[in-house]
Parts: sequence; structure tokens; C-alpha cells
Amino acid sequence: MTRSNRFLNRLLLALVGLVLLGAAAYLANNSYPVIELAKIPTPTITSLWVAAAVALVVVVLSLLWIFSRGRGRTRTVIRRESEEGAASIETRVVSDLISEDLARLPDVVGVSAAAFRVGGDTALELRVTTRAGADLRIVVDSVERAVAQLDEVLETRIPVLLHVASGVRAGFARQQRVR
Amino acid sequence: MTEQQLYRRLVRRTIFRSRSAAVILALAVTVLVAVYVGIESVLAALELPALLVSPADFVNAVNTPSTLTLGIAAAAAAVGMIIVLVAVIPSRRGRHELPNDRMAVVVDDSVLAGAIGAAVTREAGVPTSRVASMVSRTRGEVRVTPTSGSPLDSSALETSAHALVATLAPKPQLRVAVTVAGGGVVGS
Repeated sequence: MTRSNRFLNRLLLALVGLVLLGAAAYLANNSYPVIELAKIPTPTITSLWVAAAVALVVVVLSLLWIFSRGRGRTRTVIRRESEEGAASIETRVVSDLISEDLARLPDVVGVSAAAFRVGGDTALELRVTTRAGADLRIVVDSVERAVAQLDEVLETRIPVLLHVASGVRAGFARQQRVR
Repeated sequence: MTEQQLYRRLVRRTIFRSRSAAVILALAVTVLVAVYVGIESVLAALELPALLVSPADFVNAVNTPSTLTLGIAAAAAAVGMIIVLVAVIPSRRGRHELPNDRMAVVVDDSVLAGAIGAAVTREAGVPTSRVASMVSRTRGEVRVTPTSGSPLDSSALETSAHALVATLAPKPQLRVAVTVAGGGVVGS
């Protein structure tokens, strides 16, 4: 869950792939000519500098793209400003509130929270890890109750994404049974 | 953006991969190649000896057909094909959305399978180790091994599985089938 533009990711990948395919087609066409293509001229001093400049631009743009992936995580869930000052609530506080509420559920192994900026809003991502064979209805309803309490405490309604996962730990956790 | 739209977006982003890893890998290789091309070009422009291959030799090799260029062409075509495929295929993770009034809810398929398996286990009254369940995009499958001597009614088990799926209402919809193994097992 990050802010990276997924369509552009795909577009760029497709572009890189097509460039490779084009180069491959050109090379193959040189060996087995199907259509007449111009041969690459022997490089001159000017074209060498141009090639170096293009390579530099490609390097800079690629690095910019690489380091702009995965942005959007924030540490503050809510920030309110008034004339008297600003108040902000950190993700960790929210995470603790929810975890405490869910701690007594036997099916829940762990709770983690992260806040993300998504198109102008801050959304809270709750990741609840459960044991194998957990009662999903109970887990979801409990989280819903915990979020309702959170709404009351914060006096506002923040967008919440609940992801119920069976983490690595869940695989080792023994299933609880009542006989 | 309304909350509905925001939730749809959050769910979509959780269910489908972002391909950021693939893009980063492809671009990292591109950077290495571009750095090399840039260095060789500058060296040749300054008329210094090349690191590995001078641009003039490279262009010459590209223009003259050989098995080597053909092999490189084949390799480039294969890699290019894979990259284009990664860009085009939806690359869905094994997850389902659950409708909820307050939150956007996404569940791993393994969790869903566990919940359905637990419901069937309760109905069947066999140890949990004898129930195996699996969930894919549109289908759920539960396999139960009965205790010998006490046959199980697969339709009753299916009803309990369907009841659970109906209350959860995962999207995309799930069709759950319960199969009871022919031979039973001795045990508790």
C-alpha cells in the first residue's frame, strides 16, 4: 500500500520491454534481412557526446523513478490546526488503542497499523494477523467495534483499510481448540 | 474523493501488485547499461582506450551478422517478452474483499480457507487435522476425512460452509464444494 502510480509503473515496464524487443528485432533483421533497415553509422565525436548525454539523462530519470517508489506513508493520522495551535495524533497511538482492544481475541496473533496519504486523505491500514482457522466473522466484527471506539475517542471518522492476513507466525501458531 | 471511491481504491491496491519491484529491477539494469554506454562514449570521444568495447567496434559488430549478435537478439527478445508480460498481466494476489459499512476489508485467501475449514470442522465433529481447505479466486474446496464407522453427510457440511460464505459475502464470489473422503480413519 503505497502512493506509487501503478499505471505509470506498468507503462514504463511495457516501454522497457518494447525497447528490448525492438533492439532484438533490429539485430535479427541484420542477420536475416526481412525488411531494408538503415545500418547504424560509425560514431563521430559529436554523436559520441550525444550518446553520453542521453545515457546521463536516462540514468538520472531512472534513479529519480526508483527513489520515488513507495512514498505516501505518514506518521500522523490526524492533524488539526486552529488559532490556538496544532494538534496531531500519531499512528502509534491509534495502533496501541486498536491492539489493546483486540488483545483478548484468541484468534489474533498481531496487529499493526500504518497511515498512508492517498489522494488528499489519510487512510489507516490495519493489518491483523490471525491464527489458522480463525473465526473471520468475529475478527472483522471485533475490529469494527474497536474502530467505532476509535471514532469516538478521535471525534472524527478516518478511512480504515483492514487487511486480515495469515502471517508467517500464524503458520506456526497452534490452533486453539475447546473440547 | 468520496469515501466509497477511496475504499475501492484501497481495496484494489491491496489485491493487485504494484510492480514497483519489477520496475526498480528493470530500471536498475537500465542504469548500469546507461552508465557503461556513457563511459565508453566519453572515453571514445576523448580518444582514450576503451574499457571493454569501443563504440566503433560495437556498431561494427551490430552491423555485421554473426551467431553472437543473433544469440544476443534472442536473449533480448526473451527478456523483453517477459517484461512486457509482467506489465500486462493483472498479477492479482490471493485475496478477497469483504463488504463492510465502516471499513474497507481485504482478507488473505488462506484466512478465508481457514475460516471455512473451521466451520466445516465444527459441523463434522472431526479433529482439525482431518479437514483441509483451500480458496482460489472463485472457488473454495474443503476435504474432510471421516472417522471410520461414523459417516459424514457432505451436503450438511456444504450447507454450513455455504452459510459462512453467505454471511461473509466475499468478492469475487466463492463457490464452495465439500468432499468427504471415501475411506475413514481410525482415531479420536
